[in-house]
Amino acid sequence: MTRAALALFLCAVNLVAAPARPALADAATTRAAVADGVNRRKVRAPSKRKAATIRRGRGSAQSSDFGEPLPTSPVSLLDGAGIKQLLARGTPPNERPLLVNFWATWCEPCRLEFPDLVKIDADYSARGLQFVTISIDDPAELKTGVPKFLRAMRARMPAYLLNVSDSDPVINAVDPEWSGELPATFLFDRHGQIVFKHKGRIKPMDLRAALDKVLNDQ
Amino acid sequence: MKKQHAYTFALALSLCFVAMLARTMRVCAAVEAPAPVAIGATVADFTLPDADGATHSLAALKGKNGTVLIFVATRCPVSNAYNERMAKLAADYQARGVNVVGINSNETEPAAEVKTHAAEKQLTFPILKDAGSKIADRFGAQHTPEVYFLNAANKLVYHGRIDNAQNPANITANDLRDAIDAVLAGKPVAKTEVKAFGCSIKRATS
Repeated sequence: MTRAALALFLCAVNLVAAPARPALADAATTRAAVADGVNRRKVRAPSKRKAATIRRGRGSAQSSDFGEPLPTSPVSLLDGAGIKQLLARGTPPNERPLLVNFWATWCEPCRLEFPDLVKIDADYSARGLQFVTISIDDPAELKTGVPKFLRAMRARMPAYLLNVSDSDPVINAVDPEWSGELPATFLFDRHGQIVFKHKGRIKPMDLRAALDKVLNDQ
Repeated sequence: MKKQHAYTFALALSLCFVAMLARTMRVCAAVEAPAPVAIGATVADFTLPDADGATHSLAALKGKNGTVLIFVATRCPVSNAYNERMAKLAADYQARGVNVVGINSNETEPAAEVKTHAAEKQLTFPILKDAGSKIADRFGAQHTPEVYFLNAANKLVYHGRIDNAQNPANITANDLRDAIDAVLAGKPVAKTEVKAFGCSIKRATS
C-alpha cells in the first residue's frame, strides 16, 4: 500500500513538473532526446583543420588580439534568386544547417538581440552551423549604416542586404506562415526544413537548444 | 496502521488527479488560441478607446462602402514612413464611403504618445488604443503597418501591405488602393493578401 501511494505521489509530481504538450509530442520529444543522447556520444568536435576551413569560408569582421575591430568584408546585396539559392539545402555547398536572421538598423529589438547572435555564431560556427544575416535596410545603407553596425557588433557571419522590389515572394519563400515582422530568425536543417523559428527578440537559451539538437542530429 | 496507509493512498490519488486536471487545462488553453481572421471571414464588432479614452465601436466608425483598419505605431520607422500616405488615403476615400481607422496595439506606446504622435504627423483619421493587444490577437496582426480592408458587410477582402515600397519614389504596386478601387467598382479583389516587412507589434508577452 505504501509503495502504491509513493508511486502515485511521484506520478503527481511528474505531471506537475512536465511541460504541457500533447501526448504524441511528448513521445516524439522523448525519442528525440534519446537520439540526442546517442548522437552526442557519436559526435566529435571538428578537427582544428576543419574548424579553420569553416572560419576561412566566412567573410566578415574579425577582431585583432588587441580587441580592435578589423575591417569587415563588404555586405553583399541579395536578390530573390540569391535567397532561393541560399535556402536550397541538401546539395554542396549547402549541406549544413542554416541559421538566418532578418534584421534592420532601424529595428530596435533587432539591434538589442545582435550581441546574442554574435555569441551564438562564435559558439556554433565551428560545429558546422552556417549562419547568415539579412538586412532589409534601404540599399543606400549598403556601405554605410549596415556595415557600420556590423563592425560595432564585431559580427563575423556573412552579411547580406536584401535588394528586391517586392518583398512578398521573399517572405513566402522563407516561411509562408511569416507575416514579415522583424526581427525574425529561422533555423533550417540540412534538408531545408524549418526546425526552429522566432519572431521578435530571440531567447538565446531556446535558440541554443534548437541548435544543439539540429547539430547533434546530423 | 492500515488506516494511515489508506489515508496516504487517498492523498496521493487526489494529488495525481489534480495534477492531471491542471495539465489537461494547460493543454486546452494552448489549443484554444484564436485563429487569425481569414480572407472572406466577417469581422465581428468590437469596441476600443481612442487616445482620449472615448470608446468607439467598429459599427460606428465603419464606412458605408468599407473600412480600412491599419495597425500603426508611433516609433516604428516603417509605419512612420507611411504617415503621409495613410493620411492621404483617408482623405481620398472618405468621400467615397471608405473610412480609415488606425489601431495602436503596442504595449510600449502609451495613449498620450499616440495622441501627440497623431497631432504631430497630422494623422486625422481615428486611432484607437488596443490595450493588451487583444484586437491584434483577434486579427492575428503581427507588424506595423499592417492593413485589414473590410467591405461594406465587414467581410475581410484584403490583408497585408499598403504598397510595395517604404520610399514613395519606388512604388510600383499600390495593393491597398487597388483593392479598395476594386470593391468600389463592384469587382473582386485581384490580390487578397500581400506581405511586407515591418516592425513587430510589441505585445505584453513578446
